[in-house]
Amino acid sequence: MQFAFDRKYILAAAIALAGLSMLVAVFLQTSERLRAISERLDQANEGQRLAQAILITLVDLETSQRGYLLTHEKPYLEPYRSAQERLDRELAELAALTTSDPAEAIDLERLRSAVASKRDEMNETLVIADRDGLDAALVLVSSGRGKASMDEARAALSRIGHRQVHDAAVHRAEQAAHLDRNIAISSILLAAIAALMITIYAFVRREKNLRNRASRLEGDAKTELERLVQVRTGELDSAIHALALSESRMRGILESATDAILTADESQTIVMANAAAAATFRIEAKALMGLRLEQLIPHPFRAKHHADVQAFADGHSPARHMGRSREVMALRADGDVFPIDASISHASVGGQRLYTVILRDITERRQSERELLSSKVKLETALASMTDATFIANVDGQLMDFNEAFVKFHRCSSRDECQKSLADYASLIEVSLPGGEPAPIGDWAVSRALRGETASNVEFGLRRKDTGKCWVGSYSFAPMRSKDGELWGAVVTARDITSIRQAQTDLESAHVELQRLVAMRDTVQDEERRRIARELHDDLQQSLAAIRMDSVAVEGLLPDPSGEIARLVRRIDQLAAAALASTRRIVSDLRPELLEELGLGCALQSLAQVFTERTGIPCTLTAGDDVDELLGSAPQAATCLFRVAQEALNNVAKHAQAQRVEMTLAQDGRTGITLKVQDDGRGMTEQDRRKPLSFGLLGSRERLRALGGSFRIESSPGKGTTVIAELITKTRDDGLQH
Amino acid sequence: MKVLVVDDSLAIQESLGHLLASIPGVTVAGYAEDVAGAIRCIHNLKPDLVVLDVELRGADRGMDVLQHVVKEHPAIKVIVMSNFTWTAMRSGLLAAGALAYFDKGSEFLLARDWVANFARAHAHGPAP
Repeated sequence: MQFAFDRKYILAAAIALAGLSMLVAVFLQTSERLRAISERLDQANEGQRLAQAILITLVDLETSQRGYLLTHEKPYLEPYRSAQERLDRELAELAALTTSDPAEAIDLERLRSAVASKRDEMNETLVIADRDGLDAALVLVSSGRGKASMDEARAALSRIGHRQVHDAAVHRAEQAAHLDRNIAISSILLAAIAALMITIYAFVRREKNLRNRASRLEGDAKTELERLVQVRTGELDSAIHALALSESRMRGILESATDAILTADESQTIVMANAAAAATFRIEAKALMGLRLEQLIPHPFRAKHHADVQAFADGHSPARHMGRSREVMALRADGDVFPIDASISHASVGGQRLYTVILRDITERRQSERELLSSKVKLETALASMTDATFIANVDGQLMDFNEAFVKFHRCSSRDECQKSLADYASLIEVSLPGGEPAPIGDWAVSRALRGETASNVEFGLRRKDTGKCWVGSYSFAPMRSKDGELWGAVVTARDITSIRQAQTDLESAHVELQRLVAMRDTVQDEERRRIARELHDDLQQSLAAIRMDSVAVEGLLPDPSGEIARLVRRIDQLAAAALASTRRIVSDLRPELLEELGLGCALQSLAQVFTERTGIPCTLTAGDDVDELLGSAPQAATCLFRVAQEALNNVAKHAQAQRVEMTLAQDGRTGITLKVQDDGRGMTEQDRRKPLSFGLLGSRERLRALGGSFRIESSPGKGTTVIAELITKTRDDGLQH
Repeated sequence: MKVLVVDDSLAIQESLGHLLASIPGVTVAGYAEDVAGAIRCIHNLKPDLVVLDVELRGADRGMDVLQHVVKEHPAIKVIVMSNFTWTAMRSGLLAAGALAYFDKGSEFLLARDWVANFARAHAHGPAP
C-alpha cells in the first residue's frame, strides 16, 4: 500500500513538473516575443523621432539663413553651421535605421537629395549675400527653389515616419496572435496542473484518513493487550507479595516473640528455633538446630520427659500446658538450670509428626514473686509496728490493708469488727471538722487523698455512733500511684491526739488561770504595798519628823550647845533624818501615790527624778499630753506601765552602765499607749539573752500579758537596751466616757 | 499672832506646836486633824496663819481646807508642811493659794524662820 501510494504520488509530481516546464517554455517564448515587439516599437519611434528632428534641423537652418540675410549679422551663422553638422549626423542615424527596407531606401535617397538641394540653395544665398548684397540673395530666396527643396524633404520625412509607425503596428499584430496562443496554452497547462494537484491532495487526504483509522485500531488492540498483561502481572505480584508478607509475618512473629519457640521432629531433634530460644538457652540459633530436646532438660528430669512426650504423642489432645502440678526446669548451654513455663503442641505435616514447644524463662518472675512476698511481709511488719493507725485504700474506697493501731484507733475490739469499705464507716463513725461542723465523707482524709491531695496533721473529730465515744485524730494522707502516674489508692495514717488536745486545752486554761493569778497577785501586792506605804507615811514619817523637831527643840534648850548631850541630840536628829529619807524612798517605791493623785506622766516624772537622785544617771521623760487622759479611766494600765518603768529603771541601775536614760510615753493610735525606756549602756550580749529574765522583767511581761499588752526588749551589745511596753487601754467604763 | 496647826499626826501637832510656840509673838491657838475640825477652828479662833498638812485624818485633804480659807477667809494666810516632796504637789498647793510649802521632815527650820518673819511683819501691822 505504502509503495503504491508513493508511485502514484511520484507520477503525479512528474506530470506536474512536465506541465510546469512547458509553462516556463511558453512564458520564455512569450517574453521573447514581447521583447521583439518592444524593440520594433522602439525602432519605429526612433525613426519617427529622427524624421521630426531632421525637419526641425532643416527649419533651424532656414531660420538661421533668413536671420543672417535679414540682419547680416555674423552670429546667425553660428547656429547655421551647428545645424549643418547635426543634420548630417541625424541623416546618418536614420539611414542606419532603415537600410533593410528597399522602400525606405528610396525615401531616404529622396530625402538626402532634397536636403542637399536645400543646403545648396541656402549656401548659395549666403555666398550671394556676402558677395552681391542682400537684395541679390533675396531674389534667389524668393525664386522658390528653397521652398521646393523644403517641401520635398518634408514629404520624404513624412513617408518615412508613417512607414515606421505602420511597420510597428503590423509587427505588433503578428506577435499578438502568437501571444494569444501562448496565453491559451498557459491557461490549459495551469488548469491541468491545478487539477492534478487537487487529485493528489484528495489522494493524500484519503490515504491519511485510512492510515489514522488503522493506527487507532492498532492502538486500541495494544492497550487492551497491555491491560490484560498488567492485570495478570498484578495478580501474580499480589500473590507473591502475600506469600512474602505471610512469610515475613511468620518470621517476625517468631523472631519478635519473647517466648522461646522450638520445633522438633519425631526423633525429638530440633528443626527450628527462634531468637528468643537462642537467647534463653544461651546458644546460637544455628547451634540449637540439630540438638535433641532432651539436651535442654536437666538430667534428673530426662526420663520423666521421655515418658511425658510419649504419653502426649499417644493422647488425643493436640496441645498441653506443662508444669501445672510441678515446676518444669530447663538446662541452658552453660549448664545453668532455670524454671520455665512451657506448652507443647503437635501436628502432622506431610505424614511427619512435628512438636512445637513454646517456653518462657520464669526466673525473674519467681524472683519478683519472692520479692513481693518479702515486701509484703516487710510492709505488714512495718504496719504492725506502727503506733499510728495506718491503712491503704483502693480507688473504690475499699480498705486493702490496715494495722492493729487502726483497730484500736477506731475503738474496735478486733480486726473483724473493722469495716472493709469507706462507706461502711460513715454509718459507724461521725466525723467532724475542728470547728465542730460535720465532715461529709467527701472531706475525709481518704477521699481527699484519692483526689490526689497530700497533707499532714489534718485534724478531725470522731465519734462512734453506737457507743458515743469521742476522740480527735490527726491525719496524714497521700495518694498512691503506679510508675506511670495512674492513681490506684491512698495511704492514710491517723494519730489519736485526744489526750494531747486535752493537755493543750488544760495548758491554755492553766495559762489563763496563771494570768488571772498574776493579775490578782499584782492587785493584792499593790494593795499591800499601799497599806504599808500608808502606814510608813502616816505613822513612821510623822514620828520621825516629830523626833527631828523635838531634837531641835531639845538642842535649843541645852545650856551647853557644844556639850556631850547636845552632840547626842544632834546625832538623834541626824539618824531621824536618815531614817526619814529611807522611809520616803521606801514609800515612794511602794506606793506610787502620784499615779493616783496626778497621773502616770507626773508619776514617771517623779520616778525619773528619784532615779537620777539615787544613781546620778540623768533620766528624762518625754510624755504625750493626752496619755494621762487616756489612762484616767484605766488605773490598772497606768499602774502596770508605772511598774514596768520602775523595773526597767532598776535594771538600768543594776546592769546597764548607762550614761543617760530616756523614757518616752506616747499615745499609739486611738487607745494604744507605748512606753519606752531606753538607755545608752552596754546592751545585752547573746549570753545575757539566754539567761532567764529577772523576776522584775518577768513580772512586767506577765503584768502586760494579763492586760493584753505586749512587752519586748531590744538590745545589741554596746548599743544600749530599750524596753518597750505596749498596751491597749480597755476602759472599764467606756460607756460612761461619752 | 495666832497660828492654827492642822495635821492628823498627834506627834507632829505636839512637836510642831512646840516649835512654833517657841517663836516670839506666835501663839498656837489650836489644833485640828481633819477638814471639819480645821474649818470649825478657823471660824472660832480666827487665826492669822494656818499651818496645813496635805493629808488629813481619814481621807481628808489639806487642799479642801486651803480652798475654804481662800474662799471664805482671804485674810487668813496658809502655809503647807508635808512629808510629800514632789514638785507637783508643791506647785499645786502654791497655785491654790498657799504662801509657802515646806518639807516637814527636812525644812521645818525654814518653816519656823518663815513664821518668825511673818510674825514680825504681823506685829508691825496687818498684812495688806
